[in-house]
Amino acid sequence: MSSIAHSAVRVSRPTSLAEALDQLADAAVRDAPLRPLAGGTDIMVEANHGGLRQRDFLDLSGLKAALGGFTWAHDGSLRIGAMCTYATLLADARSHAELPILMQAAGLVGATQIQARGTFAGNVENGSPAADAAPALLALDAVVHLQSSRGERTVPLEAYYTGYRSTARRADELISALTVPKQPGPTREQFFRKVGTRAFQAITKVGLSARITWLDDAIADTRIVATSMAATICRARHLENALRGLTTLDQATVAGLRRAQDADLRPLDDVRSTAAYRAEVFHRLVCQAIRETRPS
Amino acid sequence: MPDGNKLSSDHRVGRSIPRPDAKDKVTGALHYVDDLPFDGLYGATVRTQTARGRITGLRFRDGSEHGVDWREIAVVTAKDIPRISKLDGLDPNLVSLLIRDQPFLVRDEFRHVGEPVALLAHPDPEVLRRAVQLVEIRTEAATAQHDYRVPPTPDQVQHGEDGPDANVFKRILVSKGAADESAAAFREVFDNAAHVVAAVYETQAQEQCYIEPNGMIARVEVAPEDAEGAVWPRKPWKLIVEGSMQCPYYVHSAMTSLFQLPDKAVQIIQAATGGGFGGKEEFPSIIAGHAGLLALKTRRPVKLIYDRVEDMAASTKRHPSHTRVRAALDADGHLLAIDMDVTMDGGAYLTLSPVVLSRGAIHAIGPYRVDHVRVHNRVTLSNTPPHGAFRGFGAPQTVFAFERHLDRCARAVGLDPVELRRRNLIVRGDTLAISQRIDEPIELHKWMDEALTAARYEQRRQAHALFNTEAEISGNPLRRGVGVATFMHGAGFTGAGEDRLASEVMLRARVCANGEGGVEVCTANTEIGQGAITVFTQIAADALGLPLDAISIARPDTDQVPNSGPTVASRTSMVVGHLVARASDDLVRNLEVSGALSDDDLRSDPDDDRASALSDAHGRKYRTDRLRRALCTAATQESGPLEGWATYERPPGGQWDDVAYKGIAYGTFAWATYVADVEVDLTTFQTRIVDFVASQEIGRVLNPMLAEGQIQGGVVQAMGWALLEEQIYVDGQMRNPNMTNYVVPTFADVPDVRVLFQESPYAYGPWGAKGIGELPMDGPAPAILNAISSALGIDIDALPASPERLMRAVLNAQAQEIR
Repeated sequence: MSSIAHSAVRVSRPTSLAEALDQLADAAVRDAPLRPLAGGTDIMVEANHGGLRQRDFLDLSGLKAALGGFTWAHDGSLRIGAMCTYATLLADARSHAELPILMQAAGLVGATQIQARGTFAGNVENGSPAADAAPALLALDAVVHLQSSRGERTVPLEAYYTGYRSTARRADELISALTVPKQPGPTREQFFRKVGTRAFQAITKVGLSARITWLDDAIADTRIVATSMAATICRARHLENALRGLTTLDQATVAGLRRAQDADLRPLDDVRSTAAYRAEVFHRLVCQAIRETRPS
Repeated sequence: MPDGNKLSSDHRVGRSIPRPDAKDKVTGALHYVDDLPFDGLYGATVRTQTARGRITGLRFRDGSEHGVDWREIAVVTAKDIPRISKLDGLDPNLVSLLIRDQPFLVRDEFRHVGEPVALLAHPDPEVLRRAVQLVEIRTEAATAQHDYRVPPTPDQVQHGEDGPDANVFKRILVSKGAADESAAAFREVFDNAAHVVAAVYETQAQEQCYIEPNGMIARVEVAPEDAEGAVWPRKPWKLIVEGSMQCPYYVHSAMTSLFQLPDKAVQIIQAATGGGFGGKEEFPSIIAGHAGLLALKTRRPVKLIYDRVEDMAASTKRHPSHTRVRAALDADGHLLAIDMDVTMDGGAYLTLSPVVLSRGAIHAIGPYRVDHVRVHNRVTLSNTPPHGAFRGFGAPQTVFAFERHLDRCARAVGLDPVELRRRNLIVRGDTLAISQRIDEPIELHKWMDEALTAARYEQRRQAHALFNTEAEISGNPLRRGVGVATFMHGAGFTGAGEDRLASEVMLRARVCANGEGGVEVCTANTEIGQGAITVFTQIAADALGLPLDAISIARPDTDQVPNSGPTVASRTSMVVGHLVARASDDLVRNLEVSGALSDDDLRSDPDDDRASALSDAHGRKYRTDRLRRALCTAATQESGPLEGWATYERPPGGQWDDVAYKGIAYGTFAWATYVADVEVDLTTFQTRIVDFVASQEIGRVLNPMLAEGQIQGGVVQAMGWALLEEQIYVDGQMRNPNMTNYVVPTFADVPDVRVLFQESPYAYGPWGAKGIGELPMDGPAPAILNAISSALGIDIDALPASPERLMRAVLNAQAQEIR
């Protein structure tokens, strides 16, 4: 029997960041944490299926001025405000030029309407293992900025997920921004491919976001991020190690990569796909990424 | 009609007349059942959670913590329904359909997850949602049958006696030639054949996915003095149900039986309906019954609307199928004999399964000449919600198996799949597998060539062969293929089905808003998105020689319209449209008889070919102004508006033998060739449909825009079936009853579907039109799977051709090569 969710939904609507942080802190002290609500594109799906995990919300719609938009810093890093929507960043030419995989990911979120409401920060905080934008951010070494009434701290996205749909954010903290550092190499080194259940309005069955740095004819450094392959989006460390120094894709190397992948990732069967499909296709995506990022 | 093939510029038939209902649908002004002004209670359904068993009791758990007070909630169970009907002595709790086996509410035994057990009503739908969760159904489990393909164990038998026919709802045998003589004679054809090719094909269930989920509003009308009585209702009462449906008279018949009421005491009204595809053919009767039971118990109007999850989990789907095909061919690729074994999954109750099986059986061998045929068909029970009507109605399953098999045969013989088809297609005068002789002037070879030319089939085939060879060498993961399916679909009910329906259409003189005379067309056929209103308007306007705005279409309401049969089986335009044209003639004849029209009112130019769909019934043409004036008078006469009627008459020709399964199954068929061009990516095993040509002969295109839309929509629905859609059942419970995980195609998943029409008018359709509603569902799956099989060089024999399935096939093939 499914759980009975019936208590009323409570929503507070702060009009300043300070007010928002105070409300979060109060609620945390009372052990009745508020769930931040940005675009609401994940929360509405939960609500519609009668399975809201929490019913007390901190509506951030009054903070669009404070937390919206994005800025390019002098050091070439991109700061994405917590209320910045996919559509907002998708309109930025420099993002397309420098961070193509983030733009590909953003362009495949739901459909146009969802992209107009959904935010990057919301996608990160929602913690879905099938997220679209978060894996691209992880492959690009993004950092999460957390603010509370006590101050600000930063957590690398790599360390942000602590388990299935759980994050390092404390109950009194709010994501204020995400920053993406200036990328070390050419955009050719970035690779993104989402394998969804269909072309649009799709949830990822398996996905790869990667950055593969080549030095001469060998792989020097990698970020290999797997989507829908584990309880969280994650980097495949054994695979990254196996890739370092690799020059060609002969049969033995390919088999070695698959072994390394299997040490990192144990995908599951579910209603959307099979473990066997996820593992095989992820492996093929890695090989495709190697071929496509290699300097010609 | 002076010329069978040409329509003058005066005709409304043959033109893309905009839909009269379009504006209100696009702007949202139209009210669907859930949008109607409503002051009453909401209803909800408590359902079984296991696949088979017996109910031992219901417990209504305390709801005080959840704001649920059981004293405020009306509850209906099977106990509220009498066990024996006053009308016919039968159990009124069993839905009146082909047979009575499915209960409106489970009395004790149940056969599937999601079977209705109790109905609740309350003014607040949110309270109701919680209350449903608080009802505990106590059960004793029984052994469920989850695989329709295997014979049941004795403890799984639920239909018929233990033995070979246990759990078999229906068997049908189609046979011809040596198979009619003896098993030995039939075997001999195979023994002496140059090639014998055998394989097994499977198809899965499919959800109709109409945009608007099912919903009904029911109310009970009593005599004023009866309203307060302790026994209620005491005096004769009337049940009125309004909702989303395809077939008002099906619901009507189900309600008179459940409530033991005379015909006049039940009124069924179709609300604007957001799609049906067969999903609103038989199933709405159950919801209507539920809403009616609650309305009767509570004395209030009750609205029962399914959300998407409930609709997907509990309502009918397309029958899954398993088909064994064996073909005998001579050295030149001529089909000598076909031996086919078709099994369909009926689900837990019989519903419409025998009729679905019948259409599958009749369409199994398609438009090919085969002298010796044996097709054994059966539909069996499994403990899932019943499978029911869905566009194509059994034909897509058998057409898939046979058209896939032809490609396999072509490879065995060493022919191009198109060439194999060319050598076996029927010509005028040939007989189908069911021994129906095709005497209409068909040119299947020419029509197939037109499709192939439009699709650039030959060029693509050659280019793809080269591309695939190079891709293999260079490591390119893409593979390309092109595939064909050639098939047919019979419109209208099978055999004597239309005779039994004896459909009636009535046209009535009326006064239009501008004060001029016009006509109201009264049929029970529903607008479900397909354009019925538009096509009936065009037909009546042309038949009468009136402007479009003089024609109005009555709302399907059983108190107002005659029974012109259900809106199913591709019959609305062809069968009922023909009746609209004939009733138009009858109306004019009645105007003449009444003296409202005379020779003075005739057109001065007798050559004007406007009007009359019927070449011989009524050749007289009246001046429009005089006709409208006469209609105006006839509309306001004291005895009520003048009417014109038409009743179905079977076209001349042979009979259908329902025992031997031979004869004239359908008055005519629409004929088609579909061509799919695909690209499979071996990195992800995803298939992209690059190009699709749907070419068909449909007698007469009544409205090009609507006809093209009908074909494109059907093709896209079939593409979903071919590549994406799959119900996942665990222990008889659907695990993906939502549109996130039951994946239908979006526009981004399908190419521009290119539609071609050929027209060879059919004498008994309006202006020659044949039915096309279901045709586009039959061909895409085999065409696409033939293309994929060609691209991969591996036979893919089961639907959907999901990436997961293609991966398994490719890896298995590689493993076998290594061995």
